[in-house]
Amino acid sequence: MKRQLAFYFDSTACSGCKTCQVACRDKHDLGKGMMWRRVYEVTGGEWRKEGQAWVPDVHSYYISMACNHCLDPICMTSCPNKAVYRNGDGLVLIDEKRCMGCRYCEWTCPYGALHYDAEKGVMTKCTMCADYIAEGKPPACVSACPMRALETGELYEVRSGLKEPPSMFPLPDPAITNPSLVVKPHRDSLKAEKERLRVNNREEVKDD
Amino acid sequence: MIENVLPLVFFTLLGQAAFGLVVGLAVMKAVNRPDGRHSYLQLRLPVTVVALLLMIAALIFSFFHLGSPLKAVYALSGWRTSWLSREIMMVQVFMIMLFVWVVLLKASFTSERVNTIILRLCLTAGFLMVFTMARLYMAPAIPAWDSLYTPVLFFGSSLIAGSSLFLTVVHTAKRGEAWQKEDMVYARVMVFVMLIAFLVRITFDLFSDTATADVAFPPAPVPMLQVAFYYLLMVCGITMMLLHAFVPHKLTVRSQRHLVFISFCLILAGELLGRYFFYAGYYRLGV
Repeated sequence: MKRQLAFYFDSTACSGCKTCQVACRDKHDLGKGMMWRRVYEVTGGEWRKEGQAWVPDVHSYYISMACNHCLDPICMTSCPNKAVYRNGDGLVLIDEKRCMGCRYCEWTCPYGALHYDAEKGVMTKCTMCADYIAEGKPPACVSACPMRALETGELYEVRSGLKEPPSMFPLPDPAITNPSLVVKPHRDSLKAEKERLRVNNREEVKDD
Repeated sequence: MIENVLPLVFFTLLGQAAFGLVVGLAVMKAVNRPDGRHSYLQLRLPVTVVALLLMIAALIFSFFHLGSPLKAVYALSGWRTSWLSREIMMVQVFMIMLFVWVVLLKASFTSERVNTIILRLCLTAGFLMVFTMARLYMAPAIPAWDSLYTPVLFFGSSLIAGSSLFLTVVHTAKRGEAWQKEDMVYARVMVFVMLIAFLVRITFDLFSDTATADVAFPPAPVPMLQVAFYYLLMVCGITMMLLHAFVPHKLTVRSQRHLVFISFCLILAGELLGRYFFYAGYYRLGV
């Protein structure tokens, strides 16, 4: 069986400290606007009437997201230059020598994993710290997480006992790209209606 | 909203207008009487030259969208899976076909059979170019584009901008010469096609569904005033084209030419605005 590394994210444990985000930027020395790993702050809620009283019914949770090195990577199939490829560990990587910076992969990835490096004129993305992986070490984001909310491992190991692919707001339908990702959903993501939830830190996580 | 969108606006519109010009030639050839294809024979060279120039301009604009334009040499390698690669391939095929035709016409190559074959090849290549152009935007993670609306918009632009440009080129090439009865026939056919394309687009505009569940960052709605301005430009432009095609006897040749030129400018401005709205409407599922 082909090796396929995957991320595991425990939304119930994540405190939203963003250490993973900082560790990633630090490790890869990422420039302005490039956030290979981002922490989304999801909030929502309203007042609800209980008997004669109005009580707050609010939700809040975090999602730490990077490239999910999908099994059906849409960035790879949509790239006209064949600049996106998969390595022996199942990691989806970019060959900067072939990338012409058309940004088509950026439009089509539903996880916002691809980021344009304006200085080099090429696309960049999470490599799952392939150099660390080769040394047998975990990626920078995983080792930095103080809550142990992030893990990596073989996809079949990470998925053990969990048959359902990740499905919680704001993650897209996993059928689109079949991500190598397992998420333990926060209780608020299960009980809240998707329409009432929103990402609260758009300015921080969105490139535009 | 995606970044650096202007090169794409110009690239797609110019390419589609070039295809529209070839459609115009095909219409002209079809409605001209077999015994006297005067206009078609006289006008196919200037029209193909303009189409080729549009394609060259489109190609130049497309390079401004790229971060590393020199690496575009690899752009055909992904043709098996990538619609963008296929689009780039069809742009090149269409350009080559137009170039060959221009060279043959310039060299006064008279075989009508060969010219007809090249016209058909240009039509096919142009159609495939616009189709691949539309198809590449229809990505599953982009709900605003992943629908029939995208090909309707793109082929509509070919017919609307292409037809208005075609009539402008014809007027310019005729240099004040009065239009024959049969010239008015293809002018009417093209304006009618333009009207139908616009009405179909309006229908899709009204009924397009932009569901935003599973979307972290829904797009900001386009201001109503801008949308109204777009419709005003298009309606004025098409109405003027209708006037030109259906009541030409009330106008001098000079005022007909001016009417067509102004109408083309209005339609071009409307199409540019409409294409900008298309890109401004971008949002994707997920984050």
